[in-house]
Amino acid sequence: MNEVNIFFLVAHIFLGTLGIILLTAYLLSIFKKEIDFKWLKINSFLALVSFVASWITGGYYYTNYYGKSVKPVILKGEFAWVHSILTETKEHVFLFLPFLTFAIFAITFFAHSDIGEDKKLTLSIAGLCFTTVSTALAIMLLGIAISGAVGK
Amino acid sequence: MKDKKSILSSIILSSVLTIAVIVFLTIFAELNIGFKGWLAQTFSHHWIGKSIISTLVFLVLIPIFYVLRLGKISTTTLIWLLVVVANLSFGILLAFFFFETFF
Amino acid sequence: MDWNVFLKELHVLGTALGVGGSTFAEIFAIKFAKDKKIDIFEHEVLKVCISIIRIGLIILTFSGLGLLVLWRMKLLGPDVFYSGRFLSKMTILLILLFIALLMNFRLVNLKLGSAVSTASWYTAMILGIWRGLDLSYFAIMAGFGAFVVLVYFFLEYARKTYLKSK
Repeated sequence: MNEVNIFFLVAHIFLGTLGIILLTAYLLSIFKKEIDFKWLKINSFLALVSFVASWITGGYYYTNYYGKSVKPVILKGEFAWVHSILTETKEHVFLFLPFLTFAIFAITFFAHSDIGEDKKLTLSIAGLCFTTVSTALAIMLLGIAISGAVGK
Repeated sequence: MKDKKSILSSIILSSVLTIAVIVFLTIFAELNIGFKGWLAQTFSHHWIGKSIISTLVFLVLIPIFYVLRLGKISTTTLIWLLVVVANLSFGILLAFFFFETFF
Repeated sequence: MDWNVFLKELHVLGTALGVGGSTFAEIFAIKFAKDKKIDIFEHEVLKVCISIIRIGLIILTFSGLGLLVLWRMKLLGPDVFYSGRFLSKMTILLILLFIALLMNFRLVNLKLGSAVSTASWYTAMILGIWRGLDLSYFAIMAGFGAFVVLVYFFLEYARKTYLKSK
């Protein structure tokens, strides 16, 4: 793996993890008695930027390196199903994240006055945030499993 | 205030449909090699094609739903719809690739 | 720059903060429960412990992922990534995150949650140190389950003993 591909892989992982941490912090904040709405808006915006940047960097790594150099190795080994199930699921489910995060950002931006006040709305936002965090975490774990299938 | 609600409803509903489109594009491309080939030829890689198409679908649907004035639908209901669709879609894709591999 | 050494040092730091933070959170929770109420100062102390645990978890996550990238570059493969030790460590990390969320929203009994959380931190630390551990995933998870029960009863004993003391 050359340095450019290492850079894009590390950036993809770092930015995706940052998105997960930001949204987890968001989830922990929306049920507080005193909600800092300015922080929520910044947080959700940064999470969106993180996932979009992770999308781009991961996309570069996937289209320029993975297909040519990693996929054939996995398909030849005893864990070929790791590519055909895990990678295929990961690369397509990842596409959900920017749109889910955009929705969270839009809700925070347009309906922040109702967050905390409207309990049902707050619960639904928590549900959306939890779904996004869980999906991103699952994607991270799939990525670890895929890396693990590449042996000597 | 009502305008903000309409914009928000449009964005949430666009997200719902975009995720559904991603699932459709993914499964259709796997079952139709010609379509997958077209995506690869047009966009240099099938995955890039799906990324671009889903982004365009999302951006196009927002003004369409805004014009339809969906402010009457409860924001809470729309958010839960997005939650359900996102989770179901994850399950559908995982199940699809599992069955495609082993059956 | 030796990334392996740097990331391992960070990982150890994260572990120290997490294990230390959870240990002191337990100790202070038991001490503060003696008068059956938590005043503002006691609440702030527990909040500090939780913040330390969260910082430790973040450092652990980033350094751990960095180490995984290095493993990937060395092509260590399934022997390492799919080993019982690594898979159980990942499972326990997920349990830790999930329990932390449940405890934050009071969706789980706090005594049970804190026992699982504390046991998870110590088990993850032991698994990280015990390089030569060659047990199956299920054996390690069974051991973890037993350890959770042990920690629960130990903490219960500690609470009751301290409550009785002057």
